[in-house]
Amino acid sequence: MSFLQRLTKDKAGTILFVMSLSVILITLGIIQTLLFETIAFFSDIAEHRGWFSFDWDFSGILSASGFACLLLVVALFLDRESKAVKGTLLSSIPLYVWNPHHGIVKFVFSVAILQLLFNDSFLLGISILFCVIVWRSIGKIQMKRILGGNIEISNLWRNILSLFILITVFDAITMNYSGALGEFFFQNQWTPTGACEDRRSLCETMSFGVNSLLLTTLQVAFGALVIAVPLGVGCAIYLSEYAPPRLAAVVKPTLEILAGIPSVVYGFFAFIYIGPLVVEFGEYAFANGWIDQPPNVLNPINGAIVVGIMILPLIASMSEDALRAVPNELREGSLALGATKIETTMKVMIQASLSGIIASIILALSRAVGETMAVTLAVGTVAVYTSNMFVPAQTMTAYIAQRVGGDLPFGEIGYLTIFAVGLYLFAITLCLNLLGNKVLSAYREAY
Amino acid sequence: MSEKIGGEVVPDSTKKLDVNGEIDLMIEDLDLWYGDKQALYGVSLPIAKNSVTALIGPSGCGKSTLLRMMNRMNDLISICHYDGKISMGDTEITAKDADLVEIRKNIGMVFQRPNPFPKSIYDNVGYGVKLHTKPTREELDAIIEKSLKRAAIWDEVSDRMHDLGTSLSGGQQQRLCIARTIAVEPDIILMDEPCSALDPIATAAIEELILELKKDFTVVIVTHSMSQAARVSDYTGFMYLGRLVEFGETDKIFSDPDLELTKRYITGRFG
Ligand SMILES: Nc1ncnc2c1ncn2[C@@H]1O[C@H](COP(=O)(O)OP(=O)(O)OP(=O)(O)O)[C@@H](O)[C@H]1O
Ligand SMILES: [Mg+2]
Repeated sequence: MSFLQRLTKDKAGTILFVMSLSVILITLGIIQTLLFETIAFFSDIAEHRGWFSFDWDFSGILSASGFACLLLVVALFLDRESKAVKGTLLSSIPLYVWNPHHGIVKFVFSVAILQLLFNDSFLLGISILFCVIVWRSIGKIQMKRILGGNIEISNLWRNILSLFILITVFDAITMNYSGALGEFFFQNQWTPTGACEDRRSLCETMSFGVNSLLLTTLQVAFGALVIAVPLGVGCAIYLSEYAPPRLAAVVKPTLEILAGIPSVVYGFFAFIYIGPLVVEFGEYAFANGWIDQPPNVLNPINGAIVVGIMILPLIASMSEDALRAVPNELREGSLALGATKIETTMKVMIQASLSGIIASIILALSRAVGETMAVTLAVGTVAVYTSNMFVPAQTMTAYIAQRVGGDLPFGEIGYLTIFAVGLYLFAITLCLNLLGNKVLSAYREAY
Repeated sequence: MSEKIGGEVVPDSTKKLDVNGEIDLMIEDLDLWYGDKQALYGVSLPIAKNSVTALIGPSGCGKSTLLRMMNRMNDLISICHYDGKISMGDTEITAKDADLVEIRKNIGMVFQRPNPFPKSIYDNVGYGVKLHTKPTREELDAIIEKSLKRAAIWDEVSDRMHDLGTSLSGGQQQRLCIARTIAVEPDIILMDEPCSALDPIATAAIEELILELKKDFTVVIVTHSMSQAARVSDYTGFMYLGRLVEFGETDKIFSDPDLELTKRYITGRFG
């Protein structure tokens, strides 16, 4: 029976199929829009900055991007060669070339990272990283050829490499993307609006260093962890190890209530009650000269506290589940050796449930990074890049909220920024979620 | 004074409790309830020093409950309460203000399912030692080596002390748990069906080990295997519906028990 025939025959199945298909399409649609508008954003910066020039004399080949391209081509070639049925060329190269001392790999890796951090050529750094990865994977394949064993051939790297070769070639010709990417990822000044005469053009005063927003986001998220991890894990330990059942029956719903308070309510609580408190500490710090600017009610510490309270229930309940999943035999085994309750908890239970607790922290971090309403109200809307956590700043989410909430200049660069920031934010939370779920499933497997 | 339950005559807990030599632990007239449900009825039992005492009986008769009373593990179950007296020399184990840490240090326990901690083999054995004393590195090394040797597992793990304890085979894990228990130098080792999760070869290894252990320790073992009880134990107690209905030297119980009930259980003609 063909797929279509089957669809028409099974009505309920068809409806469910359409439902899930639309979910997938919606997801793809969102990601696609984010991607396309982000690309438009980078081209716009590049174009307006005057980097967009097709230099057909290929002088770009001599640039960092050209070098990156060359590296990638070599890597691609070696990758293909290593996966060929008979590795004729590579087998003549001794194995130790592919499996060098780990120090060498680490050295090259750090060169790549340094390159990424201190040089504007984003692509060169990425290509060195790719080369190291391909190098190691060839090492593994060659080793297996000699020792025997299954050789899994995946074309993933080949595809990624090919994609990046296209990008580097384009970059080498036009000399634009890596500059725009470099500005976005490695500069710290975020002034996406400026009083330009021509609204379409970019003035010199405009700058798109997203690190300014990223720094505040991280300050708030990690600050939130500083509050939520001790309280949440402590609460989880109390609930699973100490609390008499009747008390646990009271504390658990309380946590659920805490989790149920709307984000915007948290936001104005932070603004009205927490902010002034933080300011008092700030005044003290300012009077002692620890910070260079007077404190404000809106500040990242304020946001960290309120987001910490918001993610606390998540950490507490997930960590409690992790602790409860530890087999009772371990607890009894420790107690039977004459350990006290606290020794058992600290030295056995926490260790046994550690990956579950870490997973809860990672997922809470992801939630903290993505939190919007409360941080907009608590942290402010001034994008600054400063270590002073007592002055107003702006997180990535707050920037998007402010942009969309204000007059959104369609088609202009300011409009495109929200897609780039949104995609970056999405990438961060996606990675955190994937990592968290991976740790979590590893934990579930263990028990 | 026998009781009738469901048309069947159940004898009371026995008062014939003769053992040779020194008594290490004495249980006197122990009643125990889980909530409203009584699980032990007037159980008295002497545990002779440097001997192996086996507890046998059908499932649910209270063997584990009795065993777990001896180091107060039942305190972990909130609905459990009891009446009676267990004493070890001068210390009264059932006293309200008894020092549980001290009791459990002196009376170790090996569980039905091997339960090594998710730590290295070295730390598994070192854990209990470090709870009670502050040994130097050399002392600790020596204690760990000695314990692993006494648990007959040293040869198998000496070159992988820093692997996870959980990476060992089931039989090895159980011997590791025994080593862990030995390391804190208890007087008594309680074992609740220590071989039920193991294959015949691993079981044989543990049985041999138990015979070795009784030179230095007093062992109480719960088992469902009649042959195991006959092989390793000096004394056997037969429990039935929460009562210790017969107790005596293993040879006597297995060759010529007083009660018809015991005979039927031992020969496998039960129920
Ligand atoms: N935690 C508990 N809560 C309530 N009742 C319990 C609990 N543990 C045991 N019991 C009850 O006490 C009785 C004795 O149980 P126990 O575990 O001591 O039996 P056992 O002889 O060890 O059986 P088995 O050979 O199956 O291990 C059983 O009727 C059981 O239902
Ligand atoms: Mg039992």
